[in-house]
Amino acid sequence: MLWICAIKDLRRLRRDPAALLMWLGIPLFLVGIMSAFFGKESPKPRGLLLIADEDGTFLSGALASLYKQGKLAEMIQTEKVAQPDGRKRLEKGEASALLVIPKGFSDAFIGNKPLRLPLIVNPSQRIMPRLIEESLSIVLEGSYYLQRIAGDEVRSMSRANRPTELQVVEISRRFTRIAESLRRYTDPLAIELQSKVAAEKKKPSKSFGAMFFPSMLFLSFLFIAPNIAMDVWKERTQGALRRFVSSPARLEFWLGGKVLAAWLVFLGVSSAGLLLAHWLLDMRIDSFVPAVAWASACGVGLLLMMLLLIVHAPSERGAGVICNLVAFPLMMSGGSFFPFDLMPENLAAIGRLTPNGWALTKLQQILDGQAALTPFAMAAAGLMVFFAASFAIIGRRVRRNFAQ
Amino acid sequence: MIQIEKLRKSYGDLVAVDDVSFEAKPGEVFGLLGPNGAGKTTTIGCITGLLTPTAGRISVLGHDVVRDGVEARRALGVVPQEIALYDDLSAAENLSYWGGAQGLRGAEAKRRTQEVLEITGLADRANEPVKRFSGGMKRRLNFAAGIVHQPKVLILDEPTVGVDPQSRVRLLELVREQARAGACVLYTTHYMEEAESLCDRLAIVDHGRIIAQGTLEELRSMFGERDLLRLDGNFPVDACREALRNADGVEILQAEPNLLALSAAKATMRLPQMFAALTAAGAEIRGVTMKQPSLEALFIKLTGKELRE
Repeated sequence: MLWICAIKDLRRLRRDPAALLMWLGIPLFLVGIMSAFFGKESPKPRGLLLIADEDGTFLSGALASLYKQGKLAEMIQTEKVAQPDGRKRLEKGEASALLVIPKGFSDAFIGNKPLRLPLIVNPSQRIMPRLIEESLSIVLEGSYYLQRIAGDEVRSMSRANRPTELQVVEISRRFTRIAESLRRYTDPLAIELQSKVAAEKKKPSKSFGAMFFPSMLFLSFLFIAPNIAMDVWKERTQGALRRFVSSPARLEFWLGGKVLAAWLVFLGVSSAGLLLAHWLLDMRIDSFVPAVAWASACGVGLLLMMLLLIVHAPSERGAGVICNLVAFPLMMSGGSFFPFDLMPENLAAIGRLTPNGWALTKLQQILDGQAALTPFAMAAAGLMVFFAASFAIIGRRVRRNFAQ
Repeated sequence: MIQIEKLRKSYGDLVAVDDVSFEAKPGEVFGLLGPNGAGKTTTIGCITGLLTPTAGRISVLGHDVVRDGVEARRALGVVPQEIALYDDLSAAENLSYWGGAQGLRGAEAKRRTQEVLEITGLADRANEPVKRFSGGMKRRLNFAAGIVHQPKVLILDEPTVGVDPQSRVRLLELVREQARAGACVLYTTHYMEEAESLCDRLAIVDHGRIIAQGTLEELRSMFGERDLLRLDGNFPVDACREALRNADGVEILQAEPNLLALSAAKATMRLPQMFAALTAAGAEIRGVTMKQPSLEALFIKLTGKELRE
């Protein structure tokens, strides 16, 4: 009887291809969009640092060129500007910060005199200006020590303004000699250490699409679950539910069939979605089967949650309002619209406590291969307890009130 | 068969069904006749297990519907008032599902589905979604879903509401066939003529109570060989009552400012005398309808009101 009821619901879902396509389409469409826009690239934030070099010396040029080296160059792009132009562009929000190297910077550095080095940051950005500020303070601190250790060499280099190759070789030799003389202070004592490197837990970098996809999957579930749940009101209004209650079949089969049909839908959506995300977005899937099983089970959990609410609603319209009142806040706060990675940490912490947020966090752990067995087993057991309790409550409510 | 003894169903202070007792036998159509809100659907809800009786006992083929509900429902076929079908499924899929709910499986389910589709004249539309059906076709399919498992007891709750005359005739014929095949049929309606033409025995229900019960002949004899007169117009009620008080053999069944219902033996002979008395009392008569003894006349006699939808 369970299968007969499930077949009935699956057939009815099939007869509404628009809804079915929409449910399947939400995650797949978004995967396609993300794939088209972001491909498999990891997101690399880049800030623009405007440099107004009013000193125009070798040392001021060297300071500006520091941002073209190594890792900093990957994150910060520099552009030389005149100060007034730079200020205008910063006001328009076109750059992360403006560094003004004032005239006399080189002389002040060589003469070891204090000098103000203005860095004007864009207040609408948070990360990049901070990064530039931090890196600049490190550079300035380093320059202080350089002044202390190799002040003469720096001065000779500065006097030359643009040193010849011979001067560079000579300066390098003198730097090496200084370094050799400092070695006994800087090198550590000869203590033999036995070190054991713990296996580093790799937190793989994710593409933008891969970061978004699990959220989109739950977004889709939050569309599907209320739709399937609202079907009980349709059956009630049509009188089909009353007719079923008048038959010798147990009501649990009717409810179970609905849950089974919904589970198959969630299974299809999550399998297809995860495979496509893996293929198109290069999303890491450490364990496919547990991921699909978890995702589809959580979809059923969301369905039962919606059913629990709407069988207590006073009318079909009231049930629809309740569904929307619950689903939309869950979408927004539970990481189903904006991934937790992109949310402020305090909001993300609250979002992880929502049912979909909790389920999404666990799914992410399975996908990343970071789900520990015991906590995961406890989570699965908790989900099963919720299934059993909500199934019993819904069945009782339907039999005693709802079906009448 | 269905046996109901002293059935009572109340919702707080509201008593929907009160002290209802009757028995419907195999091979007969037993009618429950009454206006909307009389308690017919509540009675059926109690029989089908949808509602739990407050008091009394109901048994279907000897199975108590409360204590042995599953066995009682196994014998039942229910055709509800609403079209309790899935619009998006085909006729065959609906029948297969409802047959399944009644315990039909596999080849037997297929065979019965095909049979009832033919019986109800829907075989050529078997694979079409129900939403494309006309109202009459949906009613027939609704009936088919109630008989797909060949129930020994068939309960029909106003199955012809909103049905065109042609489909109504067809449906009533299908109900008769079920009774002829040996099923016990319980039929509720508020259509007098339907009850008169279909039911072997009847119970007239009003305000949750049975006010008369018996075969059609038994019920008619309660009214006697009297005609029912319905006068339309303007009537000063008290003055008209006073005017007819002394009219020999005339009984006022219903008196309202725009309607007067009377019963009288040989009414045609008495019309001039009654008209004169009423006109003298200030009445303005615009229309007269006379009916032979019927269930409608009995209903008005028993309840003091017409049976309206």
